[in-house]
Amino acid sequence: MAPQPEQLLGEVEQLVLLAVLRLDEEAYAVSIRAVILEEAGVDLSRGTIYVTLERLERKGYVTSWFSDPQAVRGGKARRLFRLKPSGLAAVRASKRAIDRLAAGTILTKPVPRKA
Amino acid sequence: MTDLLRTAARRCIPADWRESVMADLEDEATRRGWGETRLALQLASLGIRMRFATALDAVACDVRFALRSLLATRWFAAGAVLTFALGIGVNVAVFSAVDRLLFRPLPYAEPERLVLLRECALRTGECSSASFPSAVAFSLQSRSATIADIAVAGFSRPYTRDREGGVTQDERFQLVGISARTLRVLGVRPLLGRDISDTEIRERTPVALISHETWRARFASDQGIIGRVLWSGRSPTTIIGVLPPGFIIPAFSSQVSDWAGLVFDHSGDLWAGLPPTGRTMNPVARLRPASSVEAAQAELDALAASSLTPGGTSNPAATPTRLRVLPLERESFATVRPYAWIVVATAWLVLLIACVNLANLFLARGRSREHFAAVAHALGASSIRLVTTSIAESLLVCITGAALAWVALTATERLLSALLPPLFSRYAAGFTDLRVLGFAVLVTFATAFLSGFVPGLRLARVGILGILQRGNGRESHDQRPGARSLLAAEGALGAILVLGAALTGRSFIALTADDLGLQPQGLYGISIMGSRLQASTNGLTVDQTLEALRQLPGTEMVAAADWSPVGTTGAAPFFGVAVNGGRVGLAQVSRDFFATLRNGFIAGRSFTAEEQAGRADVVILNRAAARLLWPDRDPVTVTGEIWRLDTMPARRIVGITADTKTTYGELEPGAMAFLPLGAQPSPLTSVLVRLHSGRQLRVADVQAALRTSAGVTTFRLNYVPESMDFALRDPRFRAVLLTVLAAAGLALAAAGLFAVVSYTAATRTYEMGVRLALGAVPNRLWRLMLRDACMPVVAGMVIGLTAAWWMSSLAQDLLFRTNARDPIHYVIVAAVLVATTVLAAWIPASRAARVNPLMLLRAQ
Repeated sequence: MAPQPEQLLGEVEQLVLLAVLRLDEEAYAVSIRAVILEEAGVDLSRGTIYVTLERLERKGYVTSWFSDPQAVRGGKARRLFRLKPSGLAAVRASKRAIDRLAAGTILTKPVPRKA
Repeated sequence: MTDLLRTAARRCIPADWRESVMADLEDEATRRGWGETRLALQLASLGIRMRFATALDAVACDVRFALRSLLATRWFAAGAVLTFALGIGVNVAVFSAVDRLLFRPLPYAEPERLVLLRECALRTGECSSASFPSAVAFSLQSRSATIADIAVAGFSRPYTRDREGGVTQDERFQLVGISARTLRVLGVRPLLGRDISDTEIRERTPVALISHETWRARFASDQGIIGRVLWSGRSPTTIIGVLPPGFIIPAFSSQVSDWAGLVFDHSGDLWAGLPPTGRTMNPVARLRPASSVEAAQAELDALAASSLTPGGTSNPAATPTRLRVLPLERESFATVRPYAWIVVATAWLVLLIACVNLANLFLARGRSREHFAAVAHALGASSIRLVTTSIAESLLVCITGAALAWVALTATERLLSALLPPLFSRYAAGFTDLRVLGFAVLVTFATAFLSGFVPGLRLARVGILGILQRGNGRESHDQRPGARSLLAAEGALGAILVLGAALTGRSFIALTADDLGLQPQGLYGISIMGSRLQASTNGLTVDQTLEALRQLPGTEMVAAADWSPVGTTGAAPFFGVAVNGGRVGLAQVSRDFFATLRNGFIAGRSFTAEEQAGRADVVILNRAAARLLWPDRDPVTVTGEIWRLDTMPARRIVGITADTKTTYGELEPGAMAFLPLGAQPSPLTSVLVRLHSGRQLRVADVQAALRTSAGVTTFRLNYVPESMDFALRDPRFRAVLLTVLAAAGLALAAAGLFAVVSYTAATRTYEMGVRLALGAVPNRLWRLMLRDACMPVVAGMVIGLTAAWWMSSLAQDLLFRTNARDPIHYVIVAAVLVATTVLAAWIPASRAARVNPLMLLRAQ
């Protein structure tokens, strides 16, 4: 099924949602930024991460809560994020759209081995 | 210090993110070993980024909300858009027409160093562009400490694309003769081609530079234009360049508005061809880099004192004059500037009314949204957010209105250009011009802010408790001094606009009813150029020419003169004598001259055939000349007197004619003395032909008659009523424009009033219901509503008319036989405004007075 226009995600939104999905219960701004850099090779600024998280929360794709204070001296609570069902649906829709577009192209054919 | 920085940085981060962001960053700072300062800077930059992103999201949200809410109230949105479209459309059109005349610097290099050299009458201060002593100009050119170089521009002459005649008037180009170094003096480079070369100057090769507008309109922007040939009779002139867009011939452009380019040739090299004792035209000088206008004036005074007679003039018989140095920037378009400013001010008034109207509409609408605002407030919306929402709404309205106006203006650009007077249309910038677009954008945003801010502020102040306590629709009385002030402002602005239109209209009517002293209908003027008739003024050729023209179909009378009383060759005759502190122009005319003009005699008669043939020592004066010569006598009684002058034989006065005006609105007709044709050596330049009613003179017939009788091929034929009408174009345009603007302003004010009174009536429905239930008579309620609506407008009108009375002296110079302070105009304007106000308030007031109290109270 084709995604609804309101479900279409921006590139940064896709990356952040996928990072949140991947990090499960450990998704907070610093870890999200780190995993995107590590896995996708994209160095997003801190500001971009926070602004995108704020927007995704406003759209109802993620939810946030504060963790217990960290077990260090003066440790503070982190704001952790989790995907909501609508966020998961949006990521699925985006991925499906990419898969369909890529189907039958050179992207889906095996890479020939060099002789 | 670091603590202070950190506290400030913390404030940058939105409150609901502050703690988590701080925790994340402090965590990272510990891991990476950042100092306090670096941490604070990171916090600040992060905060600014987040604030900016939030603000952008809020703007997008506001715009979406504004769009939805405007679409929900389509009639309101359409009224507001049309209101602003009218206001900005008028202003953009006016700005594009006057920008080059009023606001842009002159299109020359260092225009502040350019000056005009003029001979000005000591008594009247009037300066002539037509004569400046050549001797002085030569001295300045050769050895001046203050002036670097001088250029002159002379007469315009018609040119055609083809060698042979047979072309219509429209196919001729008017090229203005210039001196060789004109472009160098002005510091102007041609857009295409080149300036006049030294070889061409030395050999006086005829070359032309055409204007950018002519190149675009007549030659379809042909890139291969350089090298093409234009013809003046049988003389070829090669085009060597195209002038840059908007080029203006200094101080000459307001006189000849239809010039198509510049020409330099053997006869047009006014500079090289000037006799040392003659006079040059339109000298423009460039000051040396360190010189000032005052220094140049001092030098000119000294030079004039040493080379001229003690009277300050080279001709002892002429009016006393002083040679003056005038800054070009101040003198350019000096004649049109006052009324261009009036047009601009009027357009601004219309825009102001549109602004007030928009604010009024948004205020009225805002009152119906107080519940929404109160609830939004209660749910946590900030005051700033409510204001920005209101500004976003007005911005959408203004942008749509501006776009609509721009489309309408570009679609009607040609029509508007045709309606403008020639000077305005020539220098008008197009609607795609960057400055014009910039002006439109600036006005749009400024208006949107102004008209959205006040209503937004009112919404931001609304409290939920007040709304709940008051209840929907229950407003005991109109508590809106802001709206009343805006209505008063509309009244004041409307009064000024309508008064301006009334005065200009009255002045125009007075102008068209002006007695010219001649009958222009059926009269044609033929201006003869070239020299074929100059040498034979007395010879057979003149008689042959007149006879040939007399034979043309429909001709009633024909006359000749060495001066054109109407048309384009100039109002004042070249020759004149100074008498009793004034000047009497001398013209030679044929005996049918007065009958052809239908210029009546108040005493005496015209020349007899014998006097004409024998060049007798007789003279005919007009009434102004008779008064000047014999100030204490009735002009009728001077017939038969002898007029003695040192420069010519004594002449017997045989007739006194009524004064004639060269154009409408001339306040003081010039004093004229008419001699029989051939009395003095002078070129014949003008032939007048009067046709029987309903007949027309054909160019081809005149051409054939002039060619066969006198070999004349270069002439200009003009129908006198049309050339006289040319003088009416500016006042007519002024009257029509001000009337249109006043009508627009009045319509806007009436629409605004209607909207506000409708809204007031709606908010006072509950009050009206209670009053009716308590026994009030509907008729009295209607009067009450009407009075409440009209009072602020009438108060504003009084203020406006008082201000107009105070400012009227500024406009007096632009009016013809109309007193700007005549009370009748003020009474009429007051009547029009009061009538409009009552009409606008009538329907909503009567609707409010027809409320059914039972239904209303049951609903409550």
